[in-house]
Amino acid sequence: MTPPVTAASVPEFRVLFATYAGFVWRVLRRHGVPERDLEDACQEVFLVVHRRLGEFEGRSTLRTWLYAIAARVALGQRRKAHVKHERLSYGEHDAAFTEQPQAATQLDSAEQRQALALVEAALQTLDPDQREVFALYELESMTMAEVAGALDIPENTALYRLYAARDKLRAYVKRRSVAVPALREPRRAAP
Amino acid sequence: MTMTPEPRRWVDEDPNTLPDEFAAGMRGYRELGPDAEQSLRMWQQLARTVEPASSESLQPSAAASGVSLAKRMSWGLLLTAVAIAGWWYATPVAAPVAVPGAGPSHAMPVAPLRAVPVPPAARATGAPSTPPSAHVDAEASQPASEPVPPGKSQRDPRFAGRAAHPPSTTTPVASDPAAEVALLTRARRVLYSVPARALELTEEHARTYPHGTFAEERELIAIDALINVGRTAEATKRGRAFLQMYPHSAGVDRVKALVGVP
Repeated sequence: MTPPVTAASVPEFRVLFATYAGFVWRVLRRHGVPERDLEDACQEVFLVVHRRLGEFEGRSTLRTWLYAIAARVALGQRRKAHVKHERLSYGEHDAAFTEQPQAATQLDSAEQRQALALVEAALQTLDPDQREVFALYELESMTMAEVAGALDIPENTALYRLYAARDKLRAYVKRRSVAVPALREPRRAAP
Repeated sequence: MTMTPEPRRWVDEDPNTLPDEFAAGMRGYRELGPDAEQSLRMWQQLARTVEPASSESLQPSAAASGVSLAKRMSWGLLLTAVAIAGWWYATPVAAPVAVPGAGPSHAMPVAPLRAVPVPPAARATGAPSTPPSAHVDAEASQPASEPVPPGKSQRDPRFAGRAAHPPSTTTPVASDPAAEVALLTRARRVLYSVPARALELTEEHARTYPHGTFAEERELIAIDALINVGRTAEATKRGRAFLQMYPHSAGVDRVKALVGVP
């Protein structure tokens, strides 16, 4: 057992990594970091985290702080990719997002993978602003205050985007359920 | 307005709103992350930068064998922790807000459904004005000039309810964020094609939700709509009021541009 790196409120770096690697990973993915670069980007985030852990003042929660770092790293990665290979135009950015589900999943059943693919495809129909609010609140279980803090927007704006996102997703699911019979009948039909 | 209610999580809200598959996909999404191999690789890379410094500063005299043993042992811990991190998120780590029923959720690997089912009958018979039951009674027996205090509606589990069609009557409702957004989204949709209609919808919002959550968004739409229907003087007046009222709004630049304030 090693003592905490800094203040008592901040967990040890190792624990921090173990606890938040998944969160950071998902933030990076949503911010358009392609699957093949996720590992590098995630590592980079935690290098920054380690370097700046002393600066964390607890004014935000750890997650909002990590979010800000991850978002910046993702932006840097996209720029780098753009300059180096010019491989991520705006269109390709979206393509990179949609191509990911198969590769990144550790879900075992085909059904689970399909369900995840549906959610990711649905998220893809949202404006980026709405998508992030929805993801942070509904998928990462942040509080509304955390969401607003992470995205640096007023809470009301976050709330608005959340409901707008839900509306859009509802419509998307409805459209899909008309097109895909399996969705319409998720359970075995009653006799 | 600083008091924003914490809406219920979507998966908890109403089992019928979301198809099973979508809810399952949302739970699956929370488990996305590096696999064990990727975690290991990342940590090994990180440890090169991180460990020497920290072991130096913390325990300069630690025996080399002891350190490596400690490393070895903590590996199991680390990987286990990564594996369980998925459900760790599901319970808000630093969230000061009490989630109803959050306590027992630790027993489950993913966010459990915490929904307190509302009897379908209660919803089906609901009047067009959205909050059913208690509120309706209270409003019916009281003069319309006494809207339900916001605090009361926040405690209502159905508060963040459904994006039901907004009430066509003008009975004031304290706040119903979902319905408000639905109404304002309709207004936004016709902002350029039928601005007069957009304006009407903002007026409907103002009437229906005089204490609503999204007055700011409504004003933004209304100002835009006024300009689009050619009522620029009114737009300017309302725009200036907006800038005073919401100096930190995300729409400040837009309004300044619209009403010609530098």
